[in-house]
Amino acid sequence: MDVLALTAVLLAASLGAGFLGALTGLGGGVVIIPVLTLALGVDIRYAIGASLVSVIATSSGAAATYVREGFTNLRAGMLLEIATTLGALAGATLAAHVPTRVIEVIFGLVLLYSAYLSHRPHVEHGADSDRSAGLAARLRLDSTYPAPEGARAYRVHNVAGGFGLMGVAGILSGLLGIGSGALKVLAMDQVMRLPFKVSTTTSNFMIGVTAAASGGVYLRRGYVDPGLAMPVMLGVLAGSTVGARLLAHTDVRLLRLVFGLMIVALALQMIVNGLRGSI
Amino acid sequence: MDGVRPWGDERVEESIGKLLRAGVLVAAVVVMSGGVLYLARHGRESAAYHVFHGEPSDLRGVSGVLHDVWNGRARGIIQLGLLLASLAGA
Repeated sequence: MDVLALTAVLLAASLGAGFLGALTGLGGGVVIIPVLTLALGVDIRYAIGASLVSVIATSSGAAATYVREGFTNLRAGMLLEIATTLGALAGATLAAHVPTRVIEVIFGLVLLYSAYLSHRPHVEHGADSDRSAGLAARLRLDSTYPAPEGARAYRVHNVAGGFGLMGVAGILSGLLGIGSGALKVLAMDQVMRLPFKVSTTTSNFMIGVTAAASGGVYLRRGYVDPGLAMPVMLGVLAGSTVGARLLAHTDVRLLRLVFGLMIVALALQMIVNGLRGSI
Repeated sequence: MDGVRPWGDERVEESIGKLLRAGVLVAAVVVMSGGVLYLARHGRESAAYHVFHGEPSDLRGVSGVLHDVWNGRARGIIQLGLLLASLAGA
């Protein structure tokens, strides 16, 4: 296959990856990595480099729209990003010294369980008695997001738990070269109990920063190839720009279903990859 | 402070949105121009990514990338765009 054909295939796949990534708060690596490794026979290390580029591009294409429309919880995102970035730097440094294959299998199993969890949606609104809400109130994390009938208020729960899980998400991102959008969405959705669209869009804002942190390390290792990254970046950027415009009009149940399916696909990839020991 | 709007959350959101958009646009234009150049020069070569060699050292750091851009090398220009994109994202 010549470079032109490879570029065309990657561009098409990346359009889809960006579209799905923008809507679900995931980075698009779940689409990019198998296309590169299974369909095009690219070495996994180049695929990881391209996947990090796709995460940065997904975030770049969608974040501006979500921030402007008021979906993204910037305060929560920035606070949690501290944990994720520190984790990502630690993880990327540790990657050479720990058995990443074992971690992949464990992470895959955790994701399968999370996919099951995310299918039992919690109550997103309404009054509830939460003793740990003090921290969220002091940091002014509670906010509103756009709904068909106008701005809808929500509260943020369990800030400390969410912060801890974000640190883990960062470590995994650095270790495995993934955007870790899955864990971010799950932490905000399940632990901090944010509305689903706020979780996915805030994840979208965050994954770019996390991926940039681990991306620098992988760039220095020579994983980021411009010939692969170019169609991935441009395709994902276009796809995620389109996806971001559709979010406001998309039914939450459909979003949850697509998210769940992508998580399962990601989990299976992780487990198979880990067992084959292809890294 | 007469006539100056205070920096409330909404204004921060608006400014961050605009900054993100501008940075991304610049990065995309750089990647695209490097990409066109790259495809024009190397489009008919066969793609060889089956075996991992790692990128050459000039594409692994900022100074090497800038050096490549200065010399009009397509892969360096793409890499510069990627660096800009990660700056805009972060």
